[in-house]
Amino acid sequence: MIRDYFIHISTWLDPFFLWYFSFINIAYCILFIFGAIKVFGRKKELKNEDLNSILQSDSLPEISFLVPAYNESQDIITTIDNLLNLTYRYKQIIVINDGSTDNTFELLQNKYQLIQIPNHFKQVLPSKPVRGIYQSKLFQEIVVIDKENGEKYDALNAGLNICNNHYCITIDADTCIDDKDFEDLVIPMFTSPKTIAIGAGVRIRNGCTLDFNHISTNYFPNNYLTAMQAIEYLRTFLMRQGWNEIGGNWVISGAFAIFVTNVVVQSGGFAPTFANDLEIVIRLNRVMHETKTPYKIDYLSDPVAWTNGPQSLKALGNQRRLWQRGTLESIWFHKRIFCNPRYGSFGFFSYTFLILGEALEPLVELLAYTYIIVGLWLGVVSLSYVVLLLAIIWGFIFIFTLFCLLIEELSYQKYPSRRSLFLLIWYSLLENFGYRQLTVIWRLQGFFMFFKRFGSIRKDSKSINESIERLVKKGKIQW
Amino acid sequence: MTSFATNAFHSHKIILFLLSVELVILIVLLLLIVLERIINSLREKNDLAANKKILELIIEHVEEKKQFDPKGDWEKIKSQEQLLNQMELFDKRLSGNEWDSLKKNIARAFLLPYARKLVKNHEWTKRMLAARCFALSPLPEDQADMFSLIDDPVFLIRRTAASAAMKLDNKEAIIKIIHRLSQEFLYTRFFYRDILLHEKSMPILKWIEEIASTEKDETIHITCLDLLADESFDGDFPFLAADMKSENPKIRLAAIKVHESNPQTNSSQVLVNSLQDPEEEIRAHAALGLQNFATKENIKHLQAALSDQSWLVRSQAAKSLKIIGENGIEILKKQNPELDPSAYEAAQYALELNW
Repeated sequence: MIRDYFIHISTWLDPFFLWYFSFINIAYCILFIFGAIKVFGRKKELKNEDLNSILQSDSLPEISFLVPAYNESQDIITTIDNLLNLTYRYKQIIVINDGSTDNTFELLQNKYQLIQIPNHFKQVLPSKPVRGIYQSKLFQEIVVIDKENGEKYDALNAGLNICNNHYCITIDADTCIDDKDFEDLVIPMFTSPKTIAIGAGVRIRNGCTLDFNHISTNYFPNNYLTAMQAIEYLRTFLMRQGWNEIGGNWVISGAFAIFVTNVVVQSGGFAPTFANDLEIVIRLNRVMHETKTPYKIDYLSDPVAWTNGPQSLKALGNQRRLWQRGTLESIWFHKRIFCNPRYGSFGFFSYTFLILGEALEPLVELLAYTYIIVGLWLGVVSLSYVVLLLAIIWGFIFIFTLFCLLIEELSYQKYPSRRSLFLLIWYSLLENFGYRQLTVIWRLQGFFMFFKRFGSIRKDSKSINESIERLVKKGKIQW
Repeated sequence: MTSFATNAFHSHKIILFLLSVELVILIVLLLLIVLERIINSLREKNDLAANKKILELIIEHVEEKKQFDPKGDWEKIKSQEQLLNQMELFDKRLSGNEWDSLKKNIARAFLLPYARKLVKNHEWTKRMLAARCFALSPLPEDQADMFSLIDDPVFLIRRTAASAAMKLDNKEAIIKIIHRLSQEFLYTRFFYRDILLHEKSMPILKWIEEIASTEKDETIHITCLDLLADESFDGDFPFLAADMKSENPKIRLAAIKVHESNPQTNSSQVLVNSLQDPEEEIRAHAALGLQNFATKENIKHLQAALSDQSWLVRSQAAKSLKIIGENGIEILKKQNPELDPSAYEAAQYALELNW
């Protein structure tokens, strides 16, 4: 009986799995081609940027770095020193101590000799109460906001409230910037009038060293987990280059993102979700389309930021669950974009792929694994079908990773040592056995977390949509 | 019994084909990665050798004051781009008559003819090469080409061409650059400002002053004011009087900045009057500018500005009082938290921070 039923559904499921994963692979191929073109185009630009004249400039604008910090006593000083020592001179570093329970604030206070300054900033965006605003006596570009604990989005909103500069850069407290690569960003950042947000490459920092504000990867990767995350980042960021060219990106990594401050503030700031980096980019795309404001969101391939990846399976699992939950939340907030021609290629391609190819992928993959196991047990699914399916799912991902490494070799060469290159190739072969399945499980747990707090998500969704409607009534966004 | 669809895929040929294709791609990719490393190291070696040759030739000519002969070893240099790269590197380090004369000769013999061919090239990297050649050692006869590159759609080319046009040292070029600057997006303008102000050349500032006094277009006029505000030089700008009466706050702000950095005979009074301007940014700049006119009367005005409704103005007034020195600091210390808490707050802020 079960067998007959299984045979019946397999007439649908067999081709479904093959077509679904082939569709994703074809999309990846297209993204890869466009991504590679973008990377090489950017390399040409870099060859022609005269950085000496930029660094000698006396008239460049000030940029604000927003660094939300919750219990970051281990990294915060390194991160702030890294920012302070950037060759780009015109900067304001806004650290938001988000009610840390460790000694993050005390460390900042002692190291930079903070003194309290009057709080005359307008609270345009709501955030948890601010206990005090401090400025460093030693480096006046450092401003510290001490506030009650909210989430990262709340800290960022508090930072936006005091940010007066045209551009702000959100950066994680455990992320470092490679000075040379940051210099390369200055021209594209300042010379694109329609650009409201810019993303750049983020890489895994574990096992790397920061020598005079320059990242050295000679001893990278230091373990299996680091390598796995590095491979994922390489693939993801190349794909984002591709999305940049064909449909617009749905995310700019929160570890390092450049925004036009005024546009983010007008759009309502960061939303209450763990994937606030993804949500803000979807919202900006939506608001700009709805208000018919010409805009551009750019993703540069330059590997500028190096972030600490989780070092234990538990921490990594937690991160992936929250990412998945956040992705689903953001999709729910902006569900009206799905397949909606009003939002141009973003609504039609990017957002559709976000749902079908990204958010739902772990569900389909789990279903495929279950189908294979049950089918083999019942003797319904043949071994050759299994090989075919795995060749499509696993074989392709290995090829895709190697392509990414090749592009890396032909462009930025951030992993110059033979050891690093060999280990990355070796680990990308191993990725399909264990690590991939683990991420599927974590992401599925993210689904459960999403449904568990669905009530409050609906409330947040309502308020976000109402605020967007109010904004749209005001007309075009000005900046 | 197996399912319908599974049967359809039973063909071992398809699976074998797919796996073989994947395997071939994998091997090719691995080979490409290895090959790329080998080619890269070979290319580096070749480039090093070619660069060494150019370097030796340049040193030979500069140090030994050898006569430049375009038909000697120079002709053997195959890549104009490599020659340009090396010339640019030397140009950052060398100066003096010998170097200038060699630079001019090399540019005339090899780089400028090459640049002229590339000005209209459809590839932007080639046009960029043309702009770089012009920027190294421009000739007046290439002015039209440079001007066309200043209007190029690619910013990097526009900027480099502007830098080349600056070296022509004529008013026409300055006008062209200022017009371009005025058309650019807000932050792109900074790069042109640097080009115009980098040399701190008096004739250039005088030309800018002339353009400011005759220009009717508000955007271009503001651009000129902005440039004049960046440098201090001996000049009397009669047009500022009309600017201060303008209804456009952007013009008033730009004009007050000129008063700040280029004191005029009436600047002190203008700054004091501007403390009453409806725009807080203008009032703040007036407070900032008054630190250069530390008369007893002006200190009183700054003291009054400590009670301004805007924090920006209060903090700038406090900052100016601190910078003025003893007299100003005394006023800051005298502030009473009970009489005027906001003035006291601004005073404390200034006293605590190390300006």
